[in-house]
Amino acid sequence: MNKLSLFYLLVMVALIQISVPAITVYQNEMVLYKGSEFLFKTIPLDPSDPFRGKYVTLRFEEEEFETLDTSLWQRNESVYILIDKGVDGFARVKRLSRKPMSGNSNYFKGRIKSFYLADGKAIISLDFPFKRYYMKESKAPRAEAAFERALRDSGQQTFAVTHIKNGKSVLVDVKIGEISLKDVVSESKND
Amino acid sequence: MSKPVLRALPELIEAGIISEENAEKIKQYYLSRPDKSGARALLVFGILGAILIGLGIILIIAHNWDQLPKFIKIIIAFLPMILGQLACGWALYKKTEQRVWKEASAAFLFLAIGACISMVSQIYNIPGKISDLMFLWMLLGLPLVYLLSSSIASFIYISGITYYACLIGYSEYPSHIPYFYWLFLALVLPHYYWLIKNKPTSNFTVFHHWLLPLSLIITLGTFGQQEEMLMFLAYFSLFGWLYLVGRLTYFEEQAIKNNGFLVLGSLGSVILLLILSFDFFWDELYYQRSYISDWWDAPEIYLSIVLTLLASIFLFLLIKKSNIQTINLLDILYLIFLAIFLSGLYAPVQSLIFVNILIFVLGLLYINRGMQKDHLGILNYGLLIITALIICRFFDTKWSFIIRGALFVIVGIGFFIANYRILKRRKSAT
Repeated sequence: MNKLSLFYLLVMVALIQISVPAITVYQNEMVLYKGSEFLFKTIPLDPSDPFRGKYVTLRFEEEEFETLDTSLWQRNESVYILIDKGVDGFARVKRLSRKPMSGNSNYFKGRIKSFYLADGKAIISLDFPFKRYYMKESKAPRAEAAFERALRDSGQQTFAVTHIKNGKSVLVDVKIGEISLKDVVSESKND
Repeated sequence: MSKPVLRALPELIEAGIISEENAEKIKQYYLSRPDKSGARALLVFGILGAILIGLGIILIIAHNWDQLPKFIKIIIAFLPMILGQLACGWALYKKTEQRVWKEASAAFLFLAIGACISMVSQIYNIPGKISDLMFLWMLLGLPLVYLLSSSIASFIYISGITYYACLIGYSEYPSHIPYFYWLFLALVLPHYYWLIKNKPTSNFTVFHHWLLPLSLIITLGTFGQQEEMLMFLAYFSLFGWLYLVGRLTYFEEQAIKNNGFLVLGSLGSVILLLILSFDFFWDELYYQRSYISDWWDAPEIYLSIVLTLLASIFLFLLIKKSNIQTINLLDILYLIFLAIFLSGLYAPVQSLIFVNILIFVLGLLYINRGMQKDHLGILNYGLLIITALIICRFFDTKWSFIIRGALFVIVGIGFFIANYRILKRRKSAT
């Protein structure tokens, strides 16, 4: 193969290399721009990832879901989760489905963690896709401490701000009361 | 006059070994010969520099700069990758003949791709598994191996797919067999073949001789999901096959330190045999006999069959190439083990004894070969095998301390005598 055609191939490969992460950027921006905002009540933890650094792992109250619909689910099965807003302003899981839903865009894709039937009800543990909140490495451990303190001392509500549209979801922020977790940490440093 | 040869010239002239005329000729020869060491140093440092910068960028990105606006973060994510691409374009178009440019820019771009994907998933808090990230990264990096004929890109790629296979097969839950690893591995083999054909003695090629079998050894265990006893059989056939690959003419002509296949094949077989020289494995195998019909549902059995057939094809090639007399115990070790394994289902004690005898015979064989080839490394390898066998038996036999002590003393004396004999023979030969 001559030099010029190798060069053209390299240009093509370079375009693919750029476009793959660029598509991710585009899709996430679309969800942020056009999707609806939902707040999920949380419980965080603090591990780390070798490439992407420190993050806070979130767990959500709504991941535990009970329904009278007793259709059978498999562990680790993908599931579309339809949500709406409860009276307190926080998101509620409304229904699960194996297929994307039509007529309503407020659903995202998750996974079944566990499933069992009891007293005519299905008790399902779900795995939400937006469970990692990346933070500056020095902040992540302190974020967790501040978070626990806030829960213990004031009983303030902690929650995740997400945007959701047609099966896709983006985690925008994690808040304690009205303050973002990032700002809570920088404030607690100044104490 | 930096070369030792040139520095020795005055002394040789003085001692009357060479004439001044010859000394001058030798000097002219070395001075006129193009000095390759400079180019090689540039290559090494160029590549090291590119890798360090790339890794540095990944670490800096992992810091999470949460005070920066998102738009700036996206630019920072894409910038190293685009710079890497420009460098690769430049290397390919303008610096065709200079390997250092190609290798360094390919290494940098490969790492920058990982940095970009990581940072984008960080910006949007995408939780995806590390294995998914590795999958995408390796797929996007692979073309660099071929477009720039880059061996460093190939190293990063092989290491990356090995890590990917380990994540899927060992550490993630639920773990499963990483079938994609095998496809990924197949995709890099044409580059390896190209290296063997075009640069048979290059250091890059030698690294591949080690890295590829090592990657196979690490990842084969990911198949062990159901019937783990069978993995011993699979591993033994893998080591047997690696050893036989190392016996191909191309590898046989190389120094042993370049023949990763042969060394890892032999070392792996010996370590496995040492593990199996304890009775726990054979007790468990005997117990498993009642569940033998389950084996046919397990992927491990088919893996073992495929690897044994593969090794047998290479054994057949070896016999065809040379003749049956040149085949030794080491070449058919995997077949002997297969027989011991199968008989272990019915007679575990006998198999245990066979394994112990086999290790001892292997040790003797290597000692003998070391003596014949006048190779201290092989000789001591044989002695080490026997020592390891005795150490293993030290723990689980009920022999008295006197017998065990005497065995150690005997082997210790053996070390001295064998090494002394070779060194003495070498001395008398000079």
